[in-house]
Amino acid sequence: MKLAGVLIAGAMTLAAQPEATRNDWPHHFGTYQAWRYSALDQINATNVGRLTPAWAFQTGDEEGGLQATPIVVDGVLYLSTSHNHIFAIDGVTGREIWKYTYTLPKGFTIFYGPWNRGVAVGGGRVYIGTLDNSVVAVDQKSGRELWRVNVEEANQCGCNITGAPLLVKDKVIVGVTGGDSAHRGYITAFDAATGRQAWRFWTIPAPGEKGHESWSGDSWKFGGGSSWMTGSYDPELNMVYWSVGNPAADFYGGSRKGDNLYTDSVVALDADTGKLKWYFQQVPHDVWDFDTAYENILFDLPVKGQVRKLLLNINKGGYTFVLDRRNGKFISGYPIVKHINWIKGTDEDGNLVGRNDPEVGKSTLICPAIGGGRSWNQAAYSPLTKWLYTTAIEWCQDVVSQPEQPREGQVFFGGTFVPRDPPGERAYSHLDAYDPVSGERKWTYRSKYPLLASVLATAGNLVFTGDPEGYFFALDARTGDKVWQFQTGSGNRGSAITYEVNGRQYIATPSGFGSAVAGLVTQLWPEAERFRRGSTLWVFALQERAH
Amino acid sequence: MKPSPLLLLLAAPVLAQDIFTQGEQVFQKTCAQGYCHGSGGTQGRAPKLIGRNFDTAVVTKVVREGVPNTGMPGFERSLPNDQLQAVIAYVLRISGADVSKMPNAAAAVAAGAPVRPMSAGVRRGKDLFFDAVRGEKRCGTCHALEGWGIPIGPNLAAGGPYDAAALRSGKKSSIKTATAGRDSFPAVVVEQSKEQVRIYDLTVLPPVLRTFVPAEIRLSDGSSWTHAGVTGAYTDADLGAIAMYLGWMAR
Repeated sequence: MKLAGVLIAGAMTLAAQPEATRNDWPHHFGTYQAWRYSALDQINATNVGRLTPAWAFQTGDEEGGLQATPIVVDGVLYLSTSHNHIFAIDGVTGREIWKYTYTLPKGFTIFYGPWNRGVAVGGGRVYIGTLDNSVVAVDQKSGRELWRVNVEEANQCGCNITGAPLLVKDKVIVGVTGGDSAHRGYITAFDAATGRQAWRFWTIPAPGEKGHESWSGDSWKFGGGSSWMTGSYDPELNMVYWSVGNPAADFYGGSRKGDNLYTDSVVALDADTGKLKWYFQQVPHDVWDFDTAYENILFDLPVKGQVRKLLLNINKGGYTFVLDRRNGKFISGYPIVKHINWIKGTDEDGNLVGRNDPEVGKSTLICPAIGGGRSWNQAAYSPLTKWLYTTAIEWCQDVVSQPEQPREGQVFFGGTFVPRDPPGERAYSHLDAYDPVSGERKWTYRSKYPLLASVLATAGNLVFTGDPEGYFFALDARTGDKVWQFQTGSGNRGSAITYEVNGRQYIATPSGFGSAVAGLVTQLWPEAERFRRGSTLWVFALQERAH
Repeated sequence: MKPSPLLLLLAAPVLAQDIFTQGEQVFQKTCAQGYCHGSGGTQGRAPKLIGRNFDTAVVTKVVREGVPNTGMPGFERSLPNDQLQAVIAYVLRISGADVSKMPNAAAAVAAGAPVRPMSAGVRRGKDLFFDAVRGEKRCGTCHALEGWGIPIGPNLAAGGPYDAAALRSGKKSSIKTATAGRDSFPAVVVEQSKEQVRIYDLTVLPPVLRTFVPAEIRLSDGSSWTHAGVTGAYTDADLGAIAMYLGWMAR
């Protein structure tokens, strides 16, 4: 029978492609390989015009917008919001199944904003990192708290957790913010069942450890190196890939002479022990706040005729690095923004060429702006087109570097910045399709306002994202043509996902503008101050036809 | 009504320009930083301050104490008083308030709370108590003082005087043994009710606050836990300095 044949073919595709999601959206980036790609194709470039709201879920907490990526397991969505609420929601009806709210210590001051970017789900538990730098496990069925552990006291460290945890085997792994404070970063793993600390990787080596020599004096103690987004995992190599943020002070490097390892690096850690397997530092001695903080996309593609195990990382400076994920060897690099002047490029080994460092007491125009040639909102990779889909922002800033003394847990920035239009044109944004290895651009979609929501790619040959005006939209993955849009009522700053229940495909997207970078937008686009706030999860499906 | 420090300063307009210049410098280093209020208060992640026409009392309170449950910290502890006053004056000016008779920094310092002196030894003790380089193996992982640390163990500002030996051995009378299934571990009881039992699991640092339904867990007196087992990162000399700090705290 024809239908069975199609199903078998589908199942075989699935078996051959563990990097794609299907019914569930089990991990933060979809799967461990961070493709943000779904094999679901019920909604496709032909019928997407019939995409219509199925239900919407208002979280009731609009401060900081809604920046999370929902997780879906067996038809239930697990959504975190600002101020560390978690909701379990029926994926078909939008009914709230349970709500958990983390209680902060009394009078606690929140650093780096109240938002949260997602939970991890597995083994009957839901995990969240909190605003006071704790990790919490709650029961997946009831939302009842099982354990919580404070990673480091937040008033002292000036740090917390906003990124989603990564669940690998019997451990839950979390990063930490604090890269713009006087703080020393780390990545920490806890036993998933008991919360007992299993290992910690300090992102800045201590005296006597390899790499410590890349810091002058005592600068290593408060040198930043946060780990504020989520890692990826290669089960075959048993390596966790995590990105480490900028050194502190951000704009002033005079008191931290040296390369400042492992800031602005991708680190590969043994998943069981946290031991460093390899690292690749993108920006030695960063003085621009151009974190290597974002997602690491893992795929196997041919390089000079030979299939290699690759890792792709786009940094805040708007530059893409493709590495061999077995050993960290540099494969290729290319910019995703037109206006880039902090470097001229990279050499054949991935070393930066033509640095443009800001100067003490003098204003220097640096492109892109500190909000990033791209922000943390993630790219997608489609195995159908074999293209990478990423957003980018064309904006610049005047930077003045200034010496600064660290005060533990306090802001440690070393300068100031004022956002500017790029030379010769108004600031703008775009979403592009690239050959991921060569960086050859296939198409571009232009946006007036910065695109700050993640990209979702599907087997329906669609890519979805949203904009600050509130439009959630779909482009044809092959051409970049806009084929559908919907006004969600508030700007998009989260990560859309897709899932299937009872044979029906759903697309879910957070709506609700917020975050540090969203705040910067008003400096170049004053009208953005009027953009309405919100915190709603919108869920769409194809209109059911009357039979 | 108690006059605000700023109101005490109206008599000295001569220094007004100085305090705004100083305030701007403090603002640029502290408030414009990162993704906060933006250069000159133009707005970053935190709200725009220009043209908001703030009230003196509000700005003073917010700058000193912060706003709980938001990203706005209080600067009372981290900025010297003259800098605090200067930045308050600057924020008032950019917010559009009438600052024609604004304050002088010297009087502001006089109006502020006196700072209790800390000797080098006490300072060293405090640094050791909260030493971030030690990771979870610092005193602050289980003891809170001066707004830092996690209050799991006793409040060490009371119960002294201490010396190095007393700090090494600690007190373990309140620590029980919890048994959940086949897992048995030392525990501090936080809550015990018909609905739930909440305990800190002390198996490894940092302690884990675990919640059980009463049927899942059994508690018995005594445990194998020792304070010496969690203070191994400190020498006796370190603990001596920490004892000095605790003595200073108790006064």
